[in-house]
Amino acid sequence: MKAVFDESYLYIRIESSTELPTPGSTIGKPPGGWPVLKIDTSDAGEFVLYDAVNIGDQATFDEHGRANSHRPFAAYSIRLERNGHEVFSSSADLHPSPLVEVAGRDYDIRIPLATMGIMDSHATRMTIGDAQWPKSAVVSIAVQRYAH
Amino acid sequence: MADMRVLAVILLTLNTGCAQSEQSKVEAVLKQVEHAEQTGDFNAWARLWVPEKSGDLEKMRPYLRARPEVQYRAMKTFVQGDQAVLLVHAALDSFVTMTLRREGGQWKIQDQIWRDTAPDANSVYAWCPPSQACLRAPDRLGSRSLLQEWIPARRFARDGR
Repeated sequence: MKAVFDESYLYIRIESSTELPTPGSTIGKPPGGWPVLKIDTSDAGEFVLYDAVNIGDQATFDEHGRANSHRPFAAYSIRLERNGHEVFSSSADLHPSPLVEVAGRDYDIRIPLATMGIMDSHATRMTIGDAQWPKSAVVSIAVQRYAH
Repeated sequence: MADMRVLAVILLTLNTGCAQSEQSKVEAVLKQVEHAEQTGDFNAWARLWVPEKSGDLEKMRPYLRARPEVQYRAMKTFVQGDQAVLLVHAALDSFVTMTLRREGGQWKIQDQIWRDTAPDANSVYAWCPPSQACLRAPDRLGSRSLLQEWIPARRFARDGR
């Protein structure tokens, strides 16, 4: 996993060991196993980021309104929470999302800093870890700020 | 130097005034939605939406009845260029997030999502991310080019892991 932030976004890239199905493509078993992430910020406190690949269902219907075919598809979703309450969620499935993108082995997420209440990131410090953070067992990153 | 400061203040005031004006226009759309639903005026209601929704909206025609009790209250309005987001309190446990698009100088509803809990006020910045069109605006969402735009490889060059 990699992460960096600039004046507008926190960018997170989760790299899979295998090729990821593109959003909306037909799948059998969803990839995953990524940890729930905790994002600790110096300005705005702690957030929890859920990222997952779910299986969506695209159905067709007969003239009686009964489903007569189903197609399971890859639906990538993120959900940012603070104190157990949703800040926002977004998904890339049959519709694209500017906040979630998947290409090759990369699952890219970007979080507008303003959603975390960070309007000026010049002095912001950020750490991302797994759900056990600060006793992270899987991943812990001091996120660097990218200056243009 | 003093003249420059005066000019800066005037420009800032004008800019703020424009933003407030657009915010008022967006909220005026909500008032029109409210009035159309209170009176059951389907045509007035449908005219408030972007043209590409007209097919879907027409299916709603038989169901739009006058509901005088309808009241919408804007909780937060965020305008960014030709895109806007409205967080609306519709009833006791009913909230709606509306995205709007300005077309030919007029604000039109692009999409709406209902929920039974109050949305976070900062969620508007996810609906209209910085320097991006609002969600569900497919014309701005080229896939590969978008990725290359938002995560240039060099941004990770100094990453620790």
